[in-house]
Amino acid sequence: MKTVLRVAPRLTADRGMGEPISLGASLVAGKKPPPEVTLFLMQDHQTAFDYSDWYEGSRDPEMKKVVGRWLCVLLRAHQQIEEELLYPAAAKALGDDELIKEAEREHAEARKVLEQAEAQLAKGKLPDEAMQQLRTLVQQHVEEEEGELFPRLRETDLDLHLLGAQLLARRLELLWELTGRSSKHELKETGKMPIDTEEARRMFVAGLRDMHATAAQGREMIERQVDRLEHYPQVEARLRAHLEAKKAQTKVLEEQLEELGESNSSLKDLAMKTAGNISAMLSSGADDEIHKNSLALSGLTQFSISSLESLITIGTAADLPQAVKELQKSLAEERSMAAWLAGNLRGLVVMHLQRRSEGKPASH
Amino acid sequence: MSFNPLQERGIPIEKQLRNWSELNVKPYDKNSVHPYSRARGILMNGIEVEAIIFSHNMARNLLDPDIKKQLAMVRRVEQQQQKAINWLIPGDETTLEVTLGYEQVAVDMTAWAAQNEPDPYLRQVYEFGVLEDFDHLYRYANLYEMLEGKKAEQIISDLTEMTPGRPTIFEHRHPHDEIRRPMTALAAHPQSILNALMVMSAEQQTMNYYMTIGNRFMEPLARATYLEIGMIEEQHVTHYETILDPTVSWFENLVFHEYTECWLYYSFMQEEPDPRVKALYELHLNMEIEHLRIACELMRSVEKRDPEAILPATMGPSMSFRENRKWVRSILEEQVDLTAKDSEFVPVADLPDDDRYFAYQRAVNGRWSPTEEAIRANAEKQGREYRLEVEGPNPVEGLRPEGERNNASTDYARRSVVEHDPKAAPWTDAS
Repeated sequence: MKTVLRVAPRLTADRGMGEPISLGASLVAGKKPPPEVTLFLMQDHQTAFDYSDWYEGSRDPEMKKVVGRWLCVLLRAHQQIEEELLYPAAAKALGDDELIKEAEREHAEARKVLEQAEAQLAKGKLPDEAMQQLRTLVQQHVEEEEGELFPRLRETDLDLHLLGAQLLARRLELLWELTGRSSKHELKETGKMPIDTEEARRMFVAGLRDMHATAAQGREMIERQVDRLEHYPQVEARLRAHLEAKKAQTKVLEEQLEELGESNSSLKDLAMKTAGNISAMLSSGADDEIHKNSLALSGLTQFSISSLESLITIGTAADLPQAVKELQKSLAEERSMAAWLAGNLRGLVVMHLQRRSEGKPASH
Repeated sequence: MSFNPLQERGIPIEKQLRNWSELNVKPYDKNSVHPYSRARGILMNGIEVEAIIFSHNMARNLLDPDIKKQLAMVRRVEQQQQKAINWLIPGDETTLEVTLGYEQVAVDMTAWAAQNEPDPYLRQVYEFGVLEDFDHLYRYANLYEMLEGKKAEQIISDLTEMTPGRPTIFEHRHPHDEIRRPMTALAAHPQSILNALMVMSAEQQTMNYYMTIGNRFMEPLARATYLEIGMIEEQHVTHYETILDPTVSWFENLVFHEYTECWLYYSFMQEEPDPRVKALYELHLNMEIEHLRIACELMRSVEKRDPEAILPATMGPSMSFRENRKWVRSILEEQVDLTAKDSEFVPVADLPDDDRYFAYQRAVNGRWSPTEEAIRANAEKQGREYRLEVEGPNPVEGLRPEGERNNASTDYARRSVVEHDPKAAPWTDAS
């Protein structure tokens, strides 16, 4: 069974022309190799046990409170990334909700105890009993995950590294938030641009509309290909992940345009017009369809990257930091797709040639 | 202590460059220098080298030319700092004498980190490592006596004992068993981050040093000893670097590096008795305060995050070199027979016979171990091996000289799959 990953919250906050700075952006850009998700979560389990031991063994009540608070934060982050990202993907991949429902039920039970512990810590008390209970609950939960869920997940065709990247990036964001360290800084690029802000804003709106058309075009291109890819499951999985990114991109662009006073209907017209071009670019039915379509997608991805780069510069001049931030996320996603295409094209062509030489269906 | 480098004013970066004469400091006198003065210099050199290598790596991973310029400027000054510190070592201090200093640093610095580490897992990581460096000191001390005819206590005094720790021959473990559990910086004690960066930097410097100078000897046994212990330093760098949080960003990491430098210069400025060196540490602290400010500014402007959120409001305890003889003995007694398995520490006696540890032991030790030979050969030459046991015989009976063991042995010796055969040396006919 083929699995579609639900796209994670868009965590790829970048800078300037999309230089990856945050962990999320670095992971998406391939600058930091992601961990396999089950191994990463097992390490997180071990961390929780070590902190639990630390709490138990600590004699200094003040240190105990600090360790207790850290443990609560770590457990909260762990629960949240599993619920937001792991469980939906796992349920889909396994086609079995029971195991996941049980895991969620255990999380809910542990969360109640976690809340008690947090409340006691907030009053300056030591939640010894709650911590003891938590340890038991976590232990049971870990045994089920590591003994049942994880081995089954490893049997599926779920991309466990991609999932690892998403969970890891989200965990870090949550840790900043849960430890009260979230930034008070504005998301603003520095440097004055040689143009009037209003003029830049007009250019930006026009650019956004074009970008919307490009994104819609990309989405259309992938949608038309993805259901036909019978013999290339890895390409299909990657395209499905990118399709989710494209959907998020178009949605964000529509929201941005709406905020800037643009009507939705004009966008649809433009998108319709460009859809006509897609048929010309795709080679549906050709005996080397997979090969030709990969080249078309590669071209469109490069076009998107260049468009986004120039739009980010104009957006900076227009003093629209929040809009720029969203475009930087899209840029990271497009770069990631371009990098994947560049890295996999040769293998794809070789696979195509091999299937042909063996007389197997090879077109798509 | 209420020192907070974020609230101090340092020397503006453009005023930090020194000329060749200023940098070419007068070396210390090797016969009168306090062993811990030497140790502080060695540690600060390791810290500066790490700062430089980290900055180079960061520059290779960033696109922005303006950030590269800022990194290059600070790095140039860090290079000058490294020269001023490392040029304190006199030319007449031999390679082996410097080596003894390095191992004394490893023992007493790691001992300090372990005793000032709040996280029990990380404390265990340091306690595990210190016993291995402790053994290296004893091996090099014997090599020193054999080659230079001098006693190592002339260099390191009696502040650190020289007697077997976890025997080097048994320290060779499969690479997979050197990977530790990483800390989570956002839910860790700030002292844990400082300790880890300090110890990792010092071990890395030792690794680099042995990699480079181990082949400068004519004597085959010296060359062999350096290469064997050099391979343990590779293990130690892996052991310590894997406790660092791999999810921190480049800029957070830069801030942590600069903060560690401030912490150590501030610490050593207070305890260094030589007024000339003390002044050098004070000068460098004032430079580092500015480097930290620049790193914080980069983090704020590029990452849009507050460096104050990841740094302590006031600095923790000052790092201090001090005598740890009794402490090391107690750890040795409790933990000599521990080995590492994945990220945990377990008794070697618990390993199954087919564990990868034993396969690795066979692969690298063969029938001959340089660090065993260094002791045997020196004992043969002097009529006894070299030890400096101020607090009494080795607390582990199985590590006492032959004839004083009452037939005791360590679990390591009992489980050993290798036997050192002097006749199997690479330069003997028997080989």
